[in-house]
Order: sequence, then C-alpha cells, then structure tokens
Amino acid sequence: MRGRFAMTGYLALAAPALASAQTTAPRVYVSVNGGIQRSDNTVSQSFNVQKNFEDAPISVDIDEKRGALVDGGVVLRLIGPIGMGFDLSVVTHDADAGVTASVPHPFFFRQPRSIEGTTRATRREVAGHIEAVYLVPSQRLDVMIFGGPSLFSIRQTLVTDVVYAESFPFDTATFSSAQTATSTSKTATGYNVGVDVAWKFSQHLGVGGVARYSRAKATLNATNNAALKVDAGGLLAGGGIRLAF
Amino acid sequence: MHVLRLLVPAAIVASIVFGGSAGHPLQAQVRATKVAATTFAELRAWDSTVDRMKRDDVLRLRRTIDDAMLPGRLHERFEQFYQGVRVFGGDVARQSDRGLTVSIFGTIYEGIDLDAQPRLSLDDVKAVIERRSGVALGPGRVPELVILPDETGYRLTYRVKAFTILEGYEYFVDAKSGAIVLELIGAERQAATSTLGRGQGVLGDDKKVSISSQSGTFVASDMLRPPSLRTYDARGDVNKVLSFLNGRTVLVTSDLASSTSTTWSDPVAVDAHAQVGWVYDYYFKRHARRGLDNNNISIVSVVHPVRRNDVSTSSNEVIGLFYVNAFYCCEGVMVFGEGLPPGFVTLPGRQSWNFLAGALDVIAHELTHGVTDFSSRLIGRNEPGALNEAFSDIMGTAVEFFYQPAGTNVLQADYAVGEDVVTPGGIRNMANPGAFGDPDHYSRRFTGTADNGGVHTNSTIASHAYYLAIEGGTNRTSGLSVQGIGTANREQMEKVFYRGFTQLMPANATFAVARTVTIQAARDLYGAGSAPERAVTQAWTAVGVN
Repeated sequence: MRGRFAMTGYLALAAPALASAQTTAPRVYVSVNGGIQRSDNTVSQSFNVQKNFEDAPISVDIDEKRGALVDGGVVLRLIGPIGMGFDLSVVTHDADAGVTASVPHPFFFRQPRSIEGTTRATRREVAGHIEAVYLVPSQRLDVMIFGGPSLFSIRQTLVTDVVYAESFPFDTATFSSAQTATSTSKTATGYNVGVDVAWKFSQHLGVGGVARYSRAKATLNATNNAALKVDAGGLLAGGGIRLAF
Repeated sequence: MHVLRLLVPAAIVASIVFGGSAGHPLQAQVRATKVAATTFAELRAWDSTVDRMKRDDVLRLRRTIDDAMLPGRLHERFEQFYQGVRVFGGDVARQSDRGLTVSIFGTIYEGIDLDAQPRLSLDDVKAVIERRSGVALGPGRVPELVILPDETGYRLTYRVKAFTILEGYEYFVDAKSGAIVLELIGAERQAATSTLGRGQGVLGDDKKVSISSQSGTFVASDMLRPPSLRTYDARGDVNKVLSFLNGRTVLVTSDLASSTSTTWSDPVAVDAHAQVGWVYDYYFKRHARRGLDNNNISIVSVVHPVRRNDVSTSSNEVIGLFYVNAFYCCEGVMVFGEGLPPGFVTLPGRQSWNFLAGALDVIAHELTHGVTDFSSRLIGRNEPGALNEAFSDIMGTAVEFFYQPAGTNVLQADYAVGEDVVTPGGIRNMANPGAFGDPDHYSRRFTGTADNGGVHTNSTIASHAYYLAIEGGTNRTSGLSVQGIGTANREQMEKVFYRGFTQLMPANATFAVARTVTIQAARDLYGAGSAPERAVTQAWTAVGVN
C-alpha cells in the first residue's frame, strides 16, 4: 500500500521551553504536529461466502504501510525534568486492497474460476497516548523523551464480498468490484515510546519534530462476525508548532 | 419380478409403406447422382455445375455458414428444387476457402418430369393424416410440399409429422390422390432404448440447474444460456404430450417442471434440464456451434410423458415410445421416457430401465438428431438413417468423455450407449457392436426393411469406425488393424466427425460418402497425411467401407 504523505503544516511542537533568561523551565508544553506514520501493518482477510451453492473463498490483503498523521499533545512538567503528558493522534491510511477469490461455476460443481482485483480500503487509527516525560532543556533546544500506555481505536474498511462479471459459457469471470463495510474495533491497549525535539525562537513559541513508536493489537469484526486481529500503530514522524507556558 | 415380453427394438420397428395404386402414372426410375468432389478436376466440373443449377433455380441456397474451425472457410448448403418444390433428399454441400472451392458433396436427382401443382389443399392433407393417425393436427403443423424420390419414381407429396399414442410418424401424402405413399417412424430417437437450483439426478449425483423464478416458484427455464432451454413436466398426461407434439396445443409456464425451493426434488427434471444445458455447452465449446440450428433455437424437453406405475396396463407400443425410449421430435423438442418400475425388465437381456433423462449420452444422442436435422438432414432410413443414428451415438459418447472420467462404472465415459440407465450394458456398444448383435463390418449389415432399414442396427458400422479411429485396434470381422490417434487426441476425431457430418455430408449419404467426407474433414482440419486422416481412413477400411 502506498500511503499519502500529508504534511498538514507543521504546527507544533512539544516541549522544552526555556529561555536563557529564565531561571525556571515552563510548566506546560503544547504541541501540534502533522506527519506520517509508517508501519508493517497488514490486514489479511480470508473468508468464504456462498455462491452458486458452493463456498467461494475470498482473500484480501491490505498493506497499511504509510498513513497521514495529525497529532496534538500537552505535557505538564511536575518535578524537575519529570512530567506527564497526553497526546492524541489520528492516522489515516488510504490504500489499495488486493482481492482474490475463487468463484464457483454456475453450471458445475467443483469448477471454480479465479478472479483478482483491487479496491480502496481506508483506515482511521485514533490513539490516545499517556506519557511519562523526561525533559532535557537547553537555551534554544528542548528534548523530551517519553513513553507509556496507549489506547487505540480503529475504523477499517473490510471486504465483505466480491462483484464479478461473467458471460456464457461462464468458464472465466472478471473482478468488477468488492463490496465493503466499515468495522470499528473495541478499544485496544498498547504502548508508545518516543522523542520530541523543539527549537524555540521566542519564549513561548517554537517549532519541533516528534518521533514515536506505538503498538497495539486490535480486534475488528469481520464478515460473519469473525474476529479479525490487526496490528495498530507504527513509527510516527511529524513536525509542527511548539508552545510553552 | 415382472417380465415384459417386449422385444426391443422389434416393438418400434418402422413400417415403410409404399403406395403404388394411387392411379397416377409413376415417373421413370429415379436417377440419383452422388457428388463427392475433392480433386481439382472434379471440383472444377462440379463447381460450374452447381453455379449453373443455382442460376436455373434448381439449387437454392438454404444457408451459408462461416467455418468455426477454419478461418476463411465457408459452407454453402443448397437444396434441390423442381418447379419451386423441394426435392426430398436432393442437396449439395459446398465448402470453399476464400472463394476457392475445396469440396462438394451431395445428391442430385435427375430426370424429374411431373406436374408440380398439388390437387390437395393443406386442409385435405391434414384430413388424410387425421384419418390415418387418429390425431387432429393443429395450425402449428403445416404440411410441406416435396418431391419424393422412391423406388418407383418421383412423386409430388406432402410431408407432415404426426404423433399418436403409439408412435411418432412422418407421412408422405400423394399431393394428387391423397394416398399415403410413405410412412416412416417420425421421431428420431433412442431406439429400443430403452433415457440448477440444485438437486440430485437419477443416479444420485449432485447437479446444478439453471432455472427461473416466477411468482415465488422456481421453474425449469434456463435464462443463462443463449437459447431458451425449457423442461416441461407432463405429469403423466400422455394425451397432452401428443397434443403438443402434433401442434394442437402449446405448453405454458404452468407446465414447466417446477419446485417450491431452489432445492429440486425431482431427479428426472434435474437431469434432463441440467444435461441438456451441458450438451449445448459441449457443442459451443468444442465446435463453436450455437445450438441445434447454430442459431440458438429453443430447446424443449418433456419429462414424465407417462406414469411409471401405469406400465402394467400400457401396450407394448406405448412402452416402446414413452417408457423405454427417448426421442427427438422436431424443432428442438425432445421427450424422455419414464423407464420401468423397479422389478420390471425387458427381454432379451433382462435389462432394467431407469429414467432415460439420467443418461448424458442419451440426451446428447437425441439433441444431436436436432443438430443433424438442421445441418445434413440425413434421411431417416437405410444408410443415411444409419449414419444419422451413428452420428448421434458418436456425439453422445463424445459428450460423455467431455464431462466424465473414462471408466466403465456409472457416471464414467465409455463407448457403451445408454449404459447408465439401461442395465446391464446399455443398448449398443461402439467398441464391440457384436455384444448386442449389431454389425461391426459393412458386410454384416442388416438389409431388411425393419427399423427403417436397420438404422439403429447398422449405425454401429460407422460408430465402430469412430471408436477404432480413436482407440485403435483390430476389427473382429476383417482382421484389419487401425492405428488410432489415441485418447489424448480424442478431440481431433470428434472434430473430424462433427465437420464431416454437419458441414460436408449430404442428406442422402451412404457409408461410402461418410468415409469420403470424414477423410476430407480430417484433411481440412489437420492436413493430408496427418494422423487423424490416416486413422479415419484405416478405420473405415477396417469396417469394410471403401
């Protein structure tokens, strides 16, 4: 799958705020990012539907390799360099799903016809990251190292059936399209670790970049209410505005 | 166990009646010129003759067909006419390759000299038939004016088919006097033979049937294939069947075999409907033929023409036609016999008869009669009749091998005919015709008048040649060996016989003409000196046809 790099504008930033003139570091850091998330996530479906009185096995492979990211967070410095943060990220994937199926012949048992094609499949991954943060401030450059649990919710396009074209004598068939449905997972728990680097050009404002790796296993409801385990998360890279108060 | 003293095929032998006392002078003896032109000199002479006869309106082009197997080839089929009246059996089939004539086969009747104006009206003719057969012909049955060549000369006659409860007949009525001058068994059928949703067939196998849904009921009307394929359930009403066959009534949607769900419970309807479709598919896939007439004519099947349990009170003739038989009537209509109840057998051989729609080769046999009816129109008696039956057996077997694995068990392909429903053994055997007392060599042919001149018996001469051309082996009578093309090349021989019998064969062909046209077909398709040409040549020689 080929995701789109959607650079929504680097808003944001995280963290360390410090002005050389200041003697104390800011308490609150706000970041807003745009970027991409890369992963090795794939969604693989394998199921049967009934056609022409026989099972028609359908296989679907969706590579969720790259998605567009919008991310925002806040960090509250608690004691010294230690803080707590919360970050909400939304990653959207839009990919071609490869669909293959074996469609039974209308006139004969055990004479399936192979078809293959692609259909668009979208995925929206919403993740809330709770972070323990370690701040490494300096005069212009703040670095935050963070990690903690993540909660994921996934909305995923899944294939439910295939539509194909055929004509007499029906010994071959051609993929036309796939019927799809959107499945939303229950909240899945995972983890995240990362680093945020901010360059301040004033006391309260700067720009920065973030890299976060997150991971979780989510369960989708697939065709026939079959549970479909999918990986969530990946390596996120983004950049944007940093505010510090 | 009940034993029916039914002598099959004796119970269905043809009666050929020549009327010589009509009070009209007969023509001089019939002179028929058999045309089998394949050499340059022959072709040059006959090409110009055919063109001249066409200009003189002696030959009329019935149809032109592009060759589905050889691009650039064209087949013209002419019929002979005399003063605008078709000469029965007079026709010419000319094959050309980009304008260059390749072969001409046919029969031309010469010396015809008669008044071609009939005295009888069509109503008069129908009245004659009704008096003879006891059945009233409806508006759908229009007699055809033809000149009939027979042993005594040429006659102006009306040709019409009629079905009685006993038999299907083809009548030739003298158009001047009203005398019936020739009466043939009119149904081209499986002699003495004894015949989606989803459902199980007669032999317990799962099948899909292409059906239609109408008002919540599923009916046996195939909408997926190019032609309309419909299967009607007569529910044992033989009078309705006869009325339909004679054009007095039409079958309507409520007569279609039906089911309240997509799972069908009548194995006979399942087998008839599914397998008719399979045969259509075979012809399309193997020979690029679009149905019986190559123009997707509707195919109508009728099942349950009688009630099985009425067999004890039925005459041998009814049993011969509607129980232990299947037949192609005409214009794409077939009827499949009911078989016999368990415990009933026929003699000799003490054979049991299941529903005839259960046998794929039987269905293919009958549909092939339709193919013949729309192509060569091989006349249904004597040698052309035997060739007609042989071609149906050959294609019946070819269809079996197309869909079933080779073997001798049920639902396996072999060279026995009807073996899945007529047990043990079937009704004919192309590998060993002698097993049923049928000839494997021309010298052993039946020369009597029964069975329309031995059309079923003598068919094995040609069908055995087909067997030898594929499998190879030695003819038991001649001792001559044939190097067959092998089972892996079966398709080649199917195409050779299909081409020969449907595109090159004239209506009044003899075995010798069949030899020539199939050899020509092998050359056309695979070249002179090819393995198929050698095999088919050796095979005809081995069965004594030179």
